[in-house]
Amino acid sequence: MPDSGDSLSAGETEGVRKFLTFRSGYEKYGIDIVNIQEILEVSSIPAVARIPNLPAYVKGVMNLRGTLLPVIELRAKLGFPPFPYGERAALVVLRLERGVVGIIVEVLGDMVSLPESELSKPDAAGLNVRPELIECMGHVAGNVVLILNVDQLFSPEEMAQPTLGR
Amino acid sequence: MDIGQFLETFYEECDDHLSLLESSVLALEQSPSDKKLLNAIFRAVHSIKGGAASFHFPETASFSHSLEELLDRMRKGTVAIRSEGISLILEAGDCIKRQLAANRGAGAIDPSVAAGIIEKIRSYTAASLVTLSTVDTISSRPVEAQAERQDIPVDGLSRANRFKVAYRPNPLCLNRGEDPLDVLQALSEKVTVESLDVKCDDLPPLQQFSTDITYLWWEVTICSDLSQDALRRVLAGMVGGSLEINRLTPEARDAGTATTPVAHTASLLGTILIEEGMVTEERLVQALCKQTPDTRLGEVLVEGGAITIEQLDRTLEKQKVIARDYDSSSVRVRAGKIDTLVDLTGELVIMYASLGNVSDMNALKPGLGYALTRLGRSTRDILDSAIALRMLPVGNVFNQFPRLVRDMAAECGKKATILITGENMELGKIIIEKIGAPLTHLIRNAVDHGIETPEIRVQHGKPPVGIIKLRASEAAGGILISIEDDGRGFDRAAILRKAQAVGLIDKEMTPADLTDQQIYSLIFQPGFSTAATVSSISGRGVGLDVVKTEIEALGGSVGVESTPGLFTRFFLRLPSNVVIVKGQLVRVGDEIYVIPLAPIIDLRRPEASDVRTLNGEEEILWGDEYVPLVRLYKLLGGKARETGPGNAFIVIVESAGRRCALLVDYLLELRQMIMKGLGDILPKVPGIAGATILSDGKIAFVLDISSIMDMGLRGGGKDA
Repeated sequence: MPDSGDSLSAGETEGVRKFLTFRSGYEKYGIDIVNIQEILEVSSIPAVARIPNLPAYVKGVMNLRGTLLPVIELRAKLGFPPFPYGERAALVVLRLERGVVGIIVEVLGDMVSLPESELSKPDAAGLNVRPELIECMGHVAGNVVLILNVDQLFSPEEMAQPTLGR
Repeated sequence: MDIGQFLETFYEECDDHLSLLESSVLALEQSPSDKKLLNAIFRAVHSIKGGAASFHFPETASFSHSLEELLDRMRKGTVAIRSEGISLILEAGDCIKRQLAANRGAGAIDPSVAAGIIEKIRSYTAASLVTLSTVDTISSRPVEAQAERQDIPVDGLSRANRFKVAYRPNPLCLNRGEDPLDVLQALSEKVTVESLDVKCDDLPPLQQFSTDITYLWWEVTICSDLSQDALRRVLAGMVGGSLEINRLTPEARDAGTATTPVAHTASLLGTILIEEGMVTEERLVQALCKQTPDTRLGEVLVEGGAITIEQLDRTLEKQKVIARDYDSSSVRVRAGKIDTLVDLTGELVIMYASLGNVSDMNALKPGLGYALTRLGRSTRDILDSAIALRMLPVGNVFNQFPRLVRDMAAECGKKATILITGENMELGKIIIEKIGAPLTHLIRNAVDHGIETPEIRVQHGKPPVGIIKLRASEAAGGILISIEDDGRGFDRAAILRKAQAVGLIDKEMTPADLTDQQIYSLIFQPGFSTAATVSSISGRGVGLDVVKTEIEALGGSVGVESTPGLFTRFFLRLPSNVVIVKGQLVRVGDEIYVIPLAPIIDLRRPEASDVRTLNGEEEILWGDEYVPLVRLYKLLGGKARETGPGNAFIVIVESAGRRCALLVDYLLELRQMIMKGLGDILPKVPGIAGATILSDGKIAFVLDISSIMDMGLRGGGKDA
């Protein structure tokens, strides 16, 4: 479990970005920490109230210190069947311009720093998800990390779609 | 000193003055002999003139001066007040508004507009000089409305004695701990102060000024039922300086020096008591002398056995009615500050709620639970007070309508007037801001479509002037606003025809097949308009469905009633505040939902035999009628524990003329709670208006009744 007390400020050095990585479905993903408000352990979060008449990947809303936090299950949004969460599952709370949203990820990874120069555009053919949802990609310890474009991911058009699959 | 910092305040005050001008002028048209209105209008224009001069707006200052002269002549009675004059004053007010806006940077205006109005004022004045012969009278307000005002003693001043009191404090009073301000304050609490004039003639030049010495003295004009002697006795005890009391003859009114009228307070209580014959002057004087800053006059009188508590209560009620007419103490606060306060106190309530329940707390430390309960109560009281700060009287929105009705009637060639009641009811600021447009629309409809031309009205035996009644009153969970016109009412056949023409309803249906409510609810559907011609004012088919949507977005509901040929009445039910929802908690399956109180008509435990199926739709018996039954568990997913109506409960709701019964497993409590939206990230959820966090931290969804009906009901012309 990464140290969530780590200061979540954007990279101090020029041209270096910091990402939180995690696993969901069969891929390793990353999110720029600029968007992250906090990370919670799934076992410690209060009950999520199911919202009727929304797609199944919207688990519902949760009471986060008096604010209503929508909770999205990324695995389901990716189109994968449900899987019981292990102890490394986490709820990542994102703070976007339009509001806060929480995503449940199966296996939380480490916080990594990647210089801009090492980030590249992914090969669209090899992706399981639509290319506009991926901002760029990098490499960590030999593995590919797909950096999510969270603004696009939670845009109104995207939220109207059932899954991220192509 | 830079007076620019006061400029914003000046503009705000001018807005108030112009608003007062407009409403007073329209009222003046109904009662042209009301001197108080004229004086109020005169003072408003006078203040604008003064301010404009101070802030170097010469065009506005000189234009206001021309208007002020006209008003002065009117109040002196040398120029008649005719319909033309009323329109002229309104026009002049608009011109001042535009001039001020131009000064604020809205873009220059054509100076010939102002010049044109001044010319009109000149010719009106010449044409309206009062001679011994006739003065045109303008239509007066319907008799019943005037009768409403008579039980309010409007002018307690007219029968009382007036005194001029010269109060010269001892020059060294400040050193002795005597503050003239306190004395004046105490004075205003014991008697009615009509005006206060500070005299600075004793002020020395700045170099000789000593801060220990009081150079000022005051001339106070007082109204009181007391005799001069009695007054002297009352005041003697209060004052360390010298007091000179002179009685004024009724004619000796100060001619227009700009003095500040001080609010009526406790002594009006005395005036009312004497008027009612409940106390004698002697008793009152005794009580006034006994009264200290900590005790109230009423208490002193009751203690002394002069009056009973019931008498006191009744008199205080009367006094409250009078006091409301005088805006005594109010403060300007930036809306953002109040919003912040409400948000913070809202968080406080939720934080308190998450502490846990009483027995858990008591287990930690005895008595802790109860202490926290008291804390919770205080917290909720603070929240209520904070919310109340954001409440504004609905009159703020209503006051634009007399003018609207007047202008519109003229445009449509009709005669109409509007009667407004309940303007003191308060609504949350957000709601106040948003109901303006829907109300404007409904009132325009009333004048344009509802009220007939004077000729037709007379033909039908109605008075030629149509009456629109705008009323705000309390309803369960919030406020009810009704707009009623005594016009032509609804034509069922025409509505049905139009609905069929735009495809909202089956062509085979005849007016006899549908109930009144079913037909009337058609007018709220998009694409609908019964206007034979699309006038520029209304009737483009964009109308009532937008009103419905806007009101429902605020958590309210709309309805309509009509009798053809007689009247049409629109209802708007609104929660008193957007943030706080009063609702009925219900259990459906494992989840708790909230049904907002405003649409609820009834709660019942039905019998299994009350359900029947008609044309494939389920209905349930309510009283002696059948209403459609909506099984909430079907709409909201989840499991229902009770599917048989005999073991469950029904909640009868009504919105936009549609009624239905919602089937729930269990009724929980009726509560007030803070409603939160689901935010902008999730798509709009059908049937759900928002959510609230319950006292145990769990989330309950607040239902959007109109949407629930759309989802659950078939027929009535609603698309799936």
